[in-house]
Amino acid sequence: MRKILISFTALALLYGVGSLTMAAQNPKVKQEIANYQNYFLKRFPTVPLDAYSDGVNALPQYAERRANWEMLMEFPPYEADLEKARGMWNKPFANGKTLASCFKRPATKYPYYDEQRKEIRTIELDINECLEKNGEKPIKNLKRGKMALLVAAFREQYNGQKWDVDIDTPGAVAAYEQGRKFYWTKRGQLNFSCANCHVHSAGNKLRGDVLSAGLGHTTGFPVYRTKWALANKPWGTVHRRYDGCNRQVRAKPFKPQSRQYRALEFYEAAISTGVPIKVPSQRQ
Amino acid sequence: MRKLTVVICGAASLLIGALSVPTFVSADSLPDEGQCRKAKPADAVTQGWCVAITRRKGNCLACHSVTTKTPWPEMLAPGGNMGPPLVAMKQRFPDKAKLRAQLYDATKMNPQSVMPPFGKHQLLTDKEIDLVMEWLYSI
Repeated sequence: MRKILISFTALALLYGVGSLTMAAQNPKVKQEIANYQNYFLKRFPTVPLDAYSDGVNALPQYAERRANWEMLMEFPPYEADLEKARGMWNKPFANGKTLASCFKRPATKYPYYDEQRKEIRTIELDINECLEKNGEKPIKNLKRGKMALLVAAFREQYNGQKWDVDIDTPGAVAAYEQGRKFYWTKRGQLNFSCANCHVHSAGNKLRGDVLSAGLGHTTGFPVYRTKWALANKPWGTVHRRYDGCNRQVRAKPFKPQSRQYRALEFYEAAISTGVPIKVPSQRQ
Repeated sequence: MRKLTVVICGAASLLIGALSVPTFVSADSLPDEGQCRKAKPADAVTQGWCVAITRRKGNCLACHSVTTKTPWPEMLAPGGNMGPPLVAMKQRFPDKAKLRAQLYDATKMNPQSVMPPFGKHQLLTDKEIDLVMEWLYSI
């Protein structure tokens, strides 16, 4: 009887992981995503997959400071801006159409590999394309401000839904592979890969700061950062954060929406398959 | 009258005590980053400590915690735990060349190491690495 129960549990666990990675048909990709997630679930046994939407706040090593963040979340500092962002999202163009008319794909399926154009498409790229198609001016700054607000207004509509990007065509797998290489390659004068800090050392302290876990990393973007708020530019896209990360390891950053950063974003989305979207997020 | 004298003396000694204690400690503790910048320490060991704690130099405390014999500077936060604590370096690395090679490029010994290659990537000069070595063998 006990044996049956155990095998039942094992089956349920297997199915659990399997169901999270439904969008990845490629067995190698599927296995890599499962390995990546299981590493964190083992490293932080008290943190369930869903909780990774909260970023570093989810980690037990951050418990002391979590109370601060929870208090801040009672009256989130981003609330007024977010209200403005919703207004911007819904504001009709001169031709009467809105941004929503261009977005048939849910935020849980972004970024995606476009088979015709043979490239990874992000929400930012599709927003600018939509603006141009409707005779409006595209947004120049892809790192902060208006673009970050619009992406937040789109993504927050899918809050609570599990991330589920498609990686089932050769083109998508190739983009995933490009992002994976970026993630695990050491770079910069300080010689750090993304994984060195956010996989191998997740939860460890860098002086007084706790390193966040890579799992769930970009589920909360665009982010409202206290550090950026000091310079009065609190909102940032994922690529603004990549830019900052690359500078911190003293590497030359790539341009926002560059092929490299889009592949990295796609890979980060893939390895966070099954983590619910939670936008916007407030971080340190 | 006697009582008053006692009170005054007591108050005075308390005041002196309160004033002198912090000066005594800071004079005897290791310099923090600002103090390192202001006045270059005379001895190689303290110079090495300065290279180690300065953020644009070794920045060792980003990843390592250290226990020092001399009191820790009041304003300096303790180190991180991304790397192992720096203790008993002499015992752990009896061969000086081995420790120096670790500072120069730790990925040579272990390709998975996350420690920046301070010599290879010119994060520190040879002279600065030597100073850090002096300090490491003193703790």
